[in-house]
Amino acid sequence: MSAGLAVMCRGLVYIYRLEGYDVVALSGVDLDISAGESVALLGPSGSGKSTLLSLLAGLLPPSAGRLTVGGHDLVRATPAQLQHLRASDVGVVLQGASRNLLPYLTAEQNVRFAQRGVPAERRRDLPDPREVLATVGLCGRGRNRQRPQRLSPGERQRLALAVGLAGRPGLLLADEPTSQLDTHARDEVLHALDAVRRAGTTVVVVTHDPDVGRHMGRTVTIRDGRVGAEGRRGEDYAVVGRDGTVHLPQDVLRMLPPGTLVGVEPQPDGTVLLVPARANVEGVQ
Amino acid sequence: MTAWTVMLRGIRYRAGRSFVVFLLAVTATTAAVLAPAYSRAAQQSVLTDGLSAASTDATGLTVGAKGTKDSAAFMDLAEIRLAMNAALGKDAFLDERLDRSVAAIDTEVTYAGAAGRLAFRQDVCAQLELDGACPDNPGEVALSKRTAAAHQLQAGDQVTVHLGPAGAGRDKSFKITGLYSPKDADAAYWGRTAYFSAGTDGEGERADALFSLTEEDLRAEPAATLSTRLEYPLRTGRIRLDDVARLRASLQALGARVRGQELEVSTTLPAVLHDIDVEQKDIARTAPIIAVPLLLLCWFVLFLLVASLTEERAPEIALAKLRGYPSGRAARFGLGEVVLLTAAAVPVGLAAGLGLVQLAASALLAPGVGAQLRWPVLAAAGIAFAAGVLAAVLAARQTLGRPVLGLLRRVPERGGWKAGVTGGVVVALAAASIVAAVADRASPLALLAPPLLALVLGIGAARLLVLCSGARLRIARRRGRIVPLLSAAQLSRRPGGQRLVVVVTVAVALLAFAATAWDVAARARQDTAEDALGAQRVYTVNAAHPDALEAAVAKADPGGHSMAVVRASQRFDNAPIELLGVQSGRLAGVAVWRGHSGEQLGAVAGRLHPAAADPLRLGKDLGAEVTVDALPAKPALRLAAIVANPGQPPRTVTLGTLVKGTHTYRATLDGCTAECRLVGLAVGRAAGGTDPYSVAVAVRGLTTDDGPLSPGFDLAGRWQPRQAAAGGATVTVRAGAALGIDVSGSDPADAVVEHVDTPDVLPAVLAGGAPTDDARSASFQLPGFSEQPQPFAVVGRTDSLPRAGRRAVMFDLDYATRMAQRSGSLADNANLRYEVWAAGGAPADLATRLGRLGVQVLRAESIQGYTDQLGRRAPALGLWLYLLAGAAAILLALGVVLLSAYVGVRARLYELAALRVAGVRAGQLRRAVLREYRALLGLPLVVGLAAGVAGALVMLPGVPLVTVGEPVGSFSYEPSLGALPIALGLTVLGLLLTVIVVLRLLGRATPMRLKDGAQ
Repeated sequence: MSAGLAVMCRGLVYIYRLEGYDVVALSGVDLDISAGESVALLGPSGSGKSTLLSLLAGLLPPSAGRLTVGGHDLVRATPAQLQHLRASDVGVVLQGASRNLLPYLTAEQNVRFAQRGVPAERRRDLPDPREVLATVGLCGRGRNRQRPQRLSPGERQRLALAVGLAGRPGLLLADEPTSQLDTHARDEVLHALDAVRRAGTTVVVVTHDPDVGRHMGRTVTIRDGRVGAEGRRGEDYAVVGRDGTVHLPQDVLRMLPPGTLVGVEPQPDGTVLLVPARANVEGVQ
Repeated sequence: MTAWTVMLRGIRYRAGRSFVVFLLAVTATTAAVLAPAYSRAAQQSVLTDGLSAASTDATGLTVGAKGTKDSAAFMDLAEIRLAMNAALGKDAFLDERLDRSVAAIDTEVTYAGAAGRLAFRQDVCAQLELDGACPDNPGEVALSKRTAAAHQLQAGDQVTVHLGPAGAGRDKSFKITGLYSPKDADAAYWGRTAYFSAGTDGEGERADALFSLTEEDLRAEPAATLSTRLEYPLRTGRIRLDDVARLRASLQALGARVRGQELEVSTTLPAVLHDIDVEQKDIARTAPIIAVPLLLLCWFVLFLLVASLTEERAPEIALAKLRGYPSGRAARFGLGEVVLLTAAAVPVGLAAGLGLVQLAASALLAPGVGAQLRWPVLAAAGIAFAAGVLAAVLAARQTLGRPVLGLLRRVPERGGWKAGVTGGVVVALAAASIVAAVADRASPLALLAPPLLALVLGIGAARLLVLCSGARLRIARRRGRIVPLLSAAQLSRRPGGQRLVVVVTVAVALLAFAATAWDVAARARQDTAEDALGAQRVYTVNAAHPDALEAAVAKADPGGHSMAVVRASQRFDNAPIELLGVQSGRLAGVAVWRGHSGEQLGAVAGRLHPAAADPLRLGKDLGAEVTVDALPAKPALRLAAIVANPGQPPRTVTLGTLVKGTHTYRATLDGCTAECRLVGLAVGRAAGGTDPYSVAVAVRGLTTDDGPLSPGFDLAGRWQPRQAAAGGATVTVRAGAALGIDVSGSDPADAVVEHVDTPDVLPAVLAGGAPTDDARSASFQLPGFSEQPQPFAVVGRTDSLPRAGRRAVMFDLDYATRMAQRSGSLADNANLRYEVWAAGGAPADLATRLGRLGVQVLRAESIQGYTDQLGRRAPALGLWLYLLAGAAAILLALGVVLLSAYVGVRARLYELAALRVAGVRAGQLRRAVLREYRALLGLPLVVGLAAGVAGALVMLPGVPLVTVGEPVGSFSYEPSLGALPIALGLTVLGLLLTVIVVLRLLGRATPMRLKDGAQ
């Protein structure tokens, strides 16, 4: 695998322009992902996780803000540069394993098909498809010669990961790689993702599953088109935005509903105390 | 793994739709190949048929000279043959196409008081039935049997022949070694020379040719004009289309080569080829009317095909782009399968097209004509492929240009304003082409009128279907009826459905156009054949005279299913008029007259044959009981009878010298066997002179063979004085118990009183204007069967008469014959042409029976045979192409219907499976699909049928239907029931089978489909 690529988002905005109205999907995402890091993007449906993934893959052009992947400035990149980026540096795994695969090719051929997008001068450096399949645990028992529909759902999903990794990308983007899988199959996929991360590839996964998030080491929760929270090693943190805003966790929000006046009081031990205004407390009572 | 592997695996994975794509591409290539291949074969057929139909002497060539001693005509035939061999040796092409030559010399001579020919003709004895020996030696000749009989000559006699011009030349005596009759006077062997022309022409009596096998006998007189030649028949079976130009050039070159030897090449082959050219050009001219729309349909189908397949493969193309494939490689990946299938279809389509043409040629075209693999055919296949690739690129452009996420989206993008603009352009073009078609049907824009009309109607039908389905959807939703709701939802929301409606409409329109054109043309051919023949079977015969023919027909066909017809041609105002004498009594049962029922024919026959007295038939003698009260002293007078014996001029038979009182005058009638007719009685001078006289006689009775005749003396007008020349005797006739005849005057000729057994004027049905100053006149005079002016009364007018055309007169044969026989013998009239018309019920061996009765049958024709001949003419052959093209169009449409079902079948099955899970029963789903396809295919079927029939009615007046050069509007353009219902039935059957396949395909929608990866 190539060295992992770092990702940097600054004030990233994306607006879907529909007939008669616009929808703001991302409204200023600030996010830094280090090379070789493994990140799970969490958040409710429609929060903008998949849109962010598409922006990282160069499939959508940002409406505003800055976005770099490795050394590539994706805001200024031409379509040809983006195509080159997807061929060489970014592997994408779409939601639904079958959507990533040509049903009439074997597992090995699917990987080879993906490798044909890599420029010829770099293609010779690519690993053999069987090696890629071995990375995701698809080797032995003739698995490489099976067509996708002959594989189990978990194997199919790992094959989709293999296809995403075929060009030895520095960044692997996977959208819901464990959805519709049973626990065993999910664990196999997570194991495969772990192997990819260990190989130095930066991994970004969109998921609804908190367990997957915990497994990935770092979680980023997208809420209302922004980064709402982050979790590191099982601990969840609110993120202070560049403009000083903080997204409160849900349990705190129940205590401090929107519109509540709070006093922010720094403490000598370095913590910050949020004190609701009296009037609010009375009102609540 | 190569790109080929991916392509081939993709094709195998989508085996069903790949096969449909392949079939469509094959059909498109076949359709493209069909027009040039069939046109070529049809043109070859026209050439072969045209050369075969032309007489051998018309297509052959003659090389020789004509002249007296000083000319090349006196060359030895061997010398001419040597010169020709040398000339043909330099032109192997012409040499291979000419058959073995026949050497001939002939010269005009007189012998036995008649003009004729003395002829040398190579191997002539093999072509003659000879009583006696072949005239192999100098001074010997063979004489025709009929000439010998006419001049009481026989084998062994000497005949003196005058060689050279009258008043010069010399007589030479020949020994008659044998009497001949030609085995087949019409055989190709005899060439263009009229050897057997015994009879009387305008210049006197002619005799058949005398044949000699000694060249020198013909060259005996230096002043005689010889025609010396070699006659080369053309091997018509060896002439191919490519040969025509070279053949013309070779003939010219041959003429130049032999001109040095003072020999001339004469042939009418170029004229025959010119006529054939005209027919061939017609095929080339009419082929685009169907070929252009068919090719456009093919192209459109290919366009739809690729657009649908590319759209279906959009997620796969998205994967390629997602993996960083450059645009070009992604396009190759997206289009590769279609292009490969289209390329593979080219040789198969080419072979199928040629095979189809070969089949059509075997069944329809001239023998020996087949499909040819030539560059226009290859070019058509190449163009079809190129057009297919272009269509593929254009169709896939939109899909290939979409971004990855756009390709992954399942909802197809809307057509938007571009579809509206395209529709507007099509409507404008259609309007322009229809205007052009009305103004000039041959203009290039007019050729597009039928398909564009169909296209416009198809687009309209498709939009109407969407609107109606939308309305039905709302109603079904309100009422909660699941089956109409599902079908209406599919129809109103599925964009492929609209394209399907357009394709099926255009295809059905093309087939309906072709079938309507065929039906109209078939009817026109039948009408033409009926007009040209006039009866189911027509025999052209050689008869002695009309009465002989009538008698033979009566004996040969006692059932009365055939009739004798006598024809003649006259001219008025420098235009020919055809005279047609028919047996009125049999007209209704025998004649086929377009637009006339049996009852109408009976009414016409009744008008042609008004009641008249029966002729007075005479036996071996005639007696007349006559009373004469007073006789002049001078001159002596006689009573005579005018007797007409069929085939002979009327003759005057003296019954006796008149004497006072009542006496019976009697005479024996030599040669009469109950066929003679009493034309009239005559009173005249017994011994000539010009002395004036006056006499009154009363004829009390007439007898023949001891039996009384029924002369009708008591009927006024039954006996009438013949119109005499100016200054003739005054004749008065009085009807009564006895016929009173008063004659006074000094005319030396007999005073004739005729028995009136015909109308005064001959009733006639007239086609065209009357041959007189006033074309609308109800009466006119024209020489009928005799050379005397015959008065006619118009009892009916028509546009055209059967077998006689648009300028003709039809009348009763019996009356016309009786009238003509009053003044002369019809046996002498060389202008009369004899025919026997037979209805279906006439004996099958009628020709044989007529032959046995002494009526030689020269030619037999039938309406069926004539119709078949017309079926091989250029217009009919062109229309076969229309039918083939229409069938190809329907096959394309069926393919598109199947393809539209296969494309996106997974998504559709997924939807249907979801509906099953939601509680919709399988039967309801099946009925919904059936209802959907009923609308999708039923509407275009009806609209296409209307468009095709309307297009045909617009274009057909500009298309030759039966023969090239026929005037516009010659026929009725009402569609008849023939090919159209069959074509429609087969189309409906094909569509039903297709729907069954679709139902089976969609019947696989089970809940298992909903599992991940199944869609």
